[in-house]
Amino acid sequence: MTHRPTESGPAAWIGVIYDRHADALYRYAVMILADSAAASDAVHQVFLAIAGKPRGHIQAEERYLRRAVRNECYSALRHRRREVVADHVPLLEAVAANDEKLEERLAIEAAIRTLPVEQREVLHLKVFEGWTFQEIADQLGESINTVASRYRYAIEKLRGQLGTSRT
Amino acid sequence: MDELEERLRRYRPVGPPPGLRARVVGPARTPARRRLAWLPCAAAAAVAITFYSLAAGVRREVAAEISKEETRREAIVQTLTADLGGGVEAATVAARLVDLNEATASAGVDRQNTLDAEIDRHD
Repeated sequence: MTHRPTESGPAAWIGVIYDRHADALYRYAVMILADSAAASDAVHQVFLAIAGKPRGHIQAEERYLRRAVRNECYSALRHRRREVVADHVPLLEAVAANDEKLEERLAIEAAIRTLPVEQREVLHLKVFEGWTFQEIADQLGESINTVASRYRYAIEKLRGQLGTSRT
Repeated sequence: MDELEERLRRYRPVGPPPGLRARVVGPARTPARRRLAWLPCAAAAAVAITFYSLAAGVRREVAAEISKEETRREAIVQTLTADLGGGVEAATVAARLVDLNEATASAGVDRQNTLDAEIDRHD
């Protein structure tokens, strides 16, 4: 993602912030919502909101944006009339381009979609973002025990569905 | 790290679609879902206003009919009062006579309806 030189004023500022954070924010929103279109809406909405604020207003940029996206996603979930059970747009992609096994990816996606949103969120932050339980607890405003339990339940449920044994 | 976590770490959530940046950095627009969120409310308000207006029209017509009937009844009572010689007593008798006449007429309509139903049944 590159900064377009034609952008000026607020658009340029938003463009810089977008390039710096949108990738992680979008992946976070996708995992909370398990719905790519809704994730786009959530991220868009957050950027619309910060575009209306004075440039120096946002402190601790990443933490602020992550919290804003999280609030937007949970708000979207509250207003959602039905659970999205099958989104045709993939939820996951292989980290190494030639490492994708379609059947495995689909099985993991299906299993992740069955998790409660709080477990999906902790799983994302721990596995895909590599955060510690303490960092997750600080971000979510929960106790470290709660966060660790959510992760354990998520992993156990995935293990049950994917038939993976402990090593 | 166990086998499952290793398997999971080979994947990551998908990244933003290519069009999202243009949507965010471009002219401020609200998502379509939000843009149209007011439509159901506006439609409900329009229907409510229409029904209220129609009901108000009917209410006015009924009130006018009742008022006309009361004026006609008042005129009959006044005429009868004059025919009976005027005064408070005559007015009371006249009002009573009009009441009885209305009750009789109403009973007559009911009786006629009952008779019509009887005739229909026998036919």
